[in-house]
Amino acid sequence: MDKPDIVERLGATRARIEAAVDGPTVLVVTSALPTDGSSLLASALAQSLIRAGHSVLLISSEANANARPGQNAGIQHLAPLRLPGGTNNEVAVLGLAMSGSRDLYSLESIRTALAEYRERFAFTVIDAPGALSSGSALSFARAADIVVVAFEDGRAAREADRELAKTLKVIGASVIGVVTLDPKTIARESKKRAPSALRAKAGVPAIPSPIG
Amino acid sequence: MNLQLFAAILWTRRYVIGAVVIVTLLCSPVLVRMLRPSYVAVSELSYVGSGSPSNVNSQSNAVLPSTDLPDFIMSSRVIERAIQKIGLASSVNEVAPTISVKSSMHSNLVPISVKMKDPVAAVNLANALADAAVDEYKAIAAHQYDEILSEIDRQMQAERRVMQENDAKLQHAVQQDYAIGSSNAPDDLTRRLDELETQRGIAYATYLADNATASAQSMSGSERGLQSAIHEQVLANDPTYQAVRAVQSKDEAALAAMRGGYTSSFEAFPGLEEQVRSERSSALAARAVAIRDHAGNSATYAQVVLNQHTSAAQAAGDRARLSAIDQNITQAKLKLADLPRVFVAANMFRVQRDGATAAYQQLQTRYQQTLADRAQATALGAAFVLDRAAAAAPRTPPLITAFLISLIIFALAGGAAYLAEILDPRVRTAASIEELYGAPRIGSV
Repeated sequence: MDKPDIVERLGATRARIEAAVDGPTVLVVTSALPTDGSSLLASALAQSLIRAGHSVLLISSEANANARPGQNAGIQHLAPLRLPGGTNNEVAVLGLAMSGSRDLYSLESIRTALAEYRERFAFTVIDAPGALSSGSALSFARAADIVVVAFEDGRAAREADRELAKTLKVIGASVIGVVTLDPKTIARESKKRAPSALRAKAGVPAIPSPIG
Repeated sequence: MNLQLFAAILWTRRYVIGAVVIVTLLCSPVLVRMLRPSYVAVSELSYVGSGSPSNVNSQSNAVLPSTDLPDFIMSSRVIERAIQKIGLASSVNEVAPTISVKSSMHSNLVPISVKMKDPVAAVNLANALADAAVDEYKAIAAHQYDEILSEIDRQMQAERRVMQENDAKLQHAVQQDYAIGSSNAPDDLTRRLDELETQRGIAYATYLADNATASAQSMSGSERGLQSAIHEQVLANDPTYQAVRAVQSKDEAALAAMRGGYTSSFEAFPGLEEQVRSERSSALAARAVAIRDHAGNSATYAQVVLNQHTSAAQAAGDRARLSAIDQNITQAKLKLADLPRVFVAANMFRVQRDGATAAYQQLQTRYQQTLADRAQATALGAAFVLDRAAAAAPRTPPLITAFLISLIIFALAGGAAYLAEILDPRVRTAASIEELYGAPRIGSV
């Protein structure tokens, strides 16, 4: 019997998120370290929400074309994408972090954009890895309705974790919980979700960000 | 820490646990051989005094209440006594922790347990402690009587010295005067004096008789009519006289013969007559010489002389005996006269000795009575060894030992797992996550 894939295993997490929100929601998935698997979690969570029948927009806070497995999981190269098993709901994956103006990272810009997304999608999932080292991640977290923290299971607690927890509390982010990811799962799923693999699977070329 | 979390830790650290179990099992034979088991020997005292809890209302003869017996047995005096009893080369402080004494309010039995590595030493010490406790208990019970006995003994020794001193003085006085030794010395002395007087009378009579005999014997032979016989014996035994007499007799015989054949005018007569006269004179002279110088030739004379000497000796002896008796009589009379003074001193010694003897006998009676009282006291409040330790049993049976070792192994393994969990900085549990971020873990993939 095959082991359930990560999307299926996130069913309980998705249910708790659904129970915690009311209406269109902007959800930020962040982490203390870039390698904690936040992009994988954001992607899988978006897929899980799609499977649950929600319209979902998945956004990467930072674009990185040279992302290695486990980093950003190639999110910025996936839109638009209708994932397997999806419904007629609108699904879009956007790369936000383009090499454009710094205004894109202003809180006001983010709030404006997120307000627009709320009108169009039931869930807007934003991948914001390495929050402490990212300029935009904390802005997204502040503007989002809820925040989920990804944590690589079994690694030692570091000062970055404590700093992130403290910062999220200071900026008033609504952290609803932490999802731990097994390092093996991160490695395996990140390889499967590499940009080239996903593009080949989707049969579409990468498109530039509509925002940019 | 709840059970679930503990189980989670054990599962997470299963490899550590496995390693610890394997290493411990590999080392366990060595550990078991290194660990010497302890042995426990138990002796048992029984307490039968009326001071036991069940008899608290009765008159108590007990030295100690039974509840104090454990402390009493654990006292350094008892332990020291036990150590000396078996010659153990340990101090009280070293031995005391190995001893355990229990007592119950509802029992008169007091078990004494000794736990040691050496089973023989444990048995010896358990028994020695029981014996020492009994001895010490008896010593305490008899202590008050011992003081009395010691005082009585001291007084008895003093009286004995008085008796000995007075005996010595009396003995010395008796050596000087036998009468002192007798309680009726005046009678003895009077009787002695009478005897001496009697002896003197007899001796005096004997003396008179012997003296008379000596006087009779001292008379000369002529006075006694024996002279002629003596002279005859002397002359008969004197060869000179006999020779002269023989010549005279022959010449007289010749003269007589001639007178018968011849007349007086025979011219040979005058010469022969002259010769005979001369020979007669010679014979007389020889006779005188023989009688004067050779009286010893007479046996009668010798007997007379011997008798004279014997009688004189007997008379002298009688006189000496008489003189000695007189001297004894004089001494006896002096002693009799001096008796009152000597008797006072001797009686004083005797009275003192008799007084000391009476006091000694009285003290001896008290001593015996006190001994009996002490024996009664020790018997009524006695502790005795009810059961001696015959062997020491291992403190823990092998099965329990194995169980304990297993328990230790698992405790070590669990401890190692928990230690590893504490020392491991990695975040593995929901609680750790929640503690770190202040938010619950809502998923794990």
